[in-house]
Amino acid sequence: MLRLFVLFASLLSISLIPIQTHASNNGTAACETLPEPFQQLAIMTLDPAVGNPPQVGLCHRVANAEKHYAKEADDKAIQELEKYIAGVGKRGGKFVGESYAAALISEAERVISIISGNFEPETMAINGGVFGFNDKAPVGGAIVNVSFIESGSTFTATTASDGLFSISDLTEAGVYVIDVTTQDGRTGSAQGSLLETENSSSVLVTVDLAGSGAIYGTVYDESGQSVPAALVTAIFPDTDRKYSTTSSSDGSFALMNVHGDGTLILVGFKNDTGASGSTTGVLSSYSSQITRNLTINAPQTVNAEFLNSGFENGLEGWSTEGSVILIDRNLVFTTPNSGN
Amino acid sequence: MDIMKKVTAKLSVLIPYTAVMLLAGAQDAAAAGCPVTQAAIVSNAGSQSAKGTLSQAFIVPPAYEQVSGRLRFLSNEWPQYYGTEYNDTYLARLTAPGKVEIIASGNVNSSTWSSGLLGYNGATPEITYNTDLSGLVGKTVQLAYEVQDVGDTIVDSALAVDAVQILRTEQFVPVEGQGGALTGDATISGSFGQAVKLTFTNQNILGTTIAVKDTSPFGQTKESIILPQQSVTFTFSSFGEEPMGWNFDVSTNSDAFVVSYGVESTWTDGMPPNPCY
Repeated sequence: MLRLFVLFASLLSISLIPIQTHASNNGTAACETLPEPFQQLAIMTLDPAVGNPPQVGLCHRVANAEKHYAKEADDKAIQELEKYIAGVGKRGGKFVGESYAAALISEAERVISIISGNFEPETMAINGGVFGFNDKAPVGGAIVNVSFIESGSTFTATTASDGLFSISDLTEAGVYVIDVTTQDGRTGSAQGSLLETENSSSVLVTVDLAGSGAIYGTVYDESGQSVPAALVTAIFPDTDRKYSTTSSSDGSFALMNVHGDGTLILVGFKNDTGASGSTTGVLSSYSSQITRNLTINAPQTVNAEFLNSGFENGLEGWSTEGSVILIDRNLVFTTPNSGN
Repeated sequence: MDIMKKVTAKLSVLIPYTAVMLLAGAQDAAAAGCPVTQAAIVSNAGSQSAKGTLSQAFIVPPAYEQVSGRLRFLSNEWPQYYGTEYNDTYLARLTAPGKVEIIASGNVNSSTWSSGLLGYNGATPEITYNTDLSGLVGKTVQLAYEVQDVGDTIVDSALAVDAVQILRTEQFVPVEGQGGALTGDATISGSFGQAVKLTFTNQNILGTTIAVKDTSPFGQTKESIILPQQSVTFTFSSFGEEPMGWNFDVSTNSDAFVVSYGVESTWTDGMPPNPCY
């Protein structure tokens, strides 16, 4: 009788755990803010594409694996992830679509490979072309310097006769700045982004003779601290010229040899946080050197997914500065939507 | 000039707000069937920083592939101050850890203008855009639309933001009867959906440049470099009832150009017409 009672109590407690968890926080709170390398697996697990069950159970597998990993119990972390994979696999597409299940399993295997030290990052490449600003003709023999803004790692290539270049076998991702110098003394710069999950990035750079202007300034964050290693890009909409550089250790930057093409938009960006900001200025023959400081901010509010795309709920989910008002779209945009 | 600008300034502040008051409740007339949506008008009016901003930060779920939308730049600087230093600007950008992309940018002097609306003297044509979210799963992305005063803070400009949409991977289906090989400049046309995805694969042993232009008025042009056996995908959006007619000019300035291509779209033969967006 005692054994039966213990068995019954055990079954009751087992069945109650997920119910209590679910009642307290939908059962998925445990895996909502996990650090790398578990972050992406947790987010994928929480996607509506995963039914419940097994969503809550899978979520706890990821959370448990992270806890073990944090305590350097790598074997136990891997065991949890193997159970995760088994949990996804045995559903046979009933509660998780087959293609999405495959993606979950692939990501779990990737995390296992990282934990076990067997992870070999795929190499990536930056492909690009160098062309004259005025004639758009390809420029061969140009020296191309690529610099990742966060790490400062640099790579060099020379363009072929068709103006193209490729820098391959990269294992580092992020935003980079390209500086180009041609054999006839023309220069140009551009920015690009290489993501970990992509094989390559493509960028076009235009080159021209040096201008006589310069843009100086310092990048600051919202607390007024200077920001080193920030991307700074100047855009001249009137001519479509663009220039890019990276802020130095004290947050200062200098864009040299710039053409005074009038009004410019200056954009600042920090690679690791995604913080950004912009300002404007005017560079002309009358004012060939200007100083513009940039303040960059990281988002204060982050939605779990994109919200309120058509402003059907007012400005819910959006942040504003200055005046933002909502109107009937058909008064501004000519293509009718049958809903309006 | 300053006195003139101050007079204009009063009008620029009053008229847009009056227009909005008159238009309040316009959505009540919405017909059934499509979501009732509005446009946001971001203005630098009254801003101490001479800037108006609309932004949203969100975490990218796995199925998100693109953000699309459309803009119109509105200004009271046009026509009187066109070509002067009163050259207000607009900017749309997407940022995330590891990625920054300028979606659209321009100013008074760089824009094409037509008669105004909502009390603004001038309005640009619709500016459609697409930006890629693939590769950003799990990351915090910020989408920001800005308009800034330049030269003064007296006369205002605005950016109309509409139809900001997420395109999901499963929305795209291959278009049968489209696709093949190109060996030089060519045109791709057909009846597709509101979003069209063109994927080009370089079949040559040399790299090549490629440019694809949506030939509709003020349509976008997208350019890239494709190395041998590599692919590039360009996505275009338009807004209206699908199916709709599309026309793309494909060009290169490389001598060696042999690419295969495929077309995916949010609408293909067999699907019912869709008037909503």
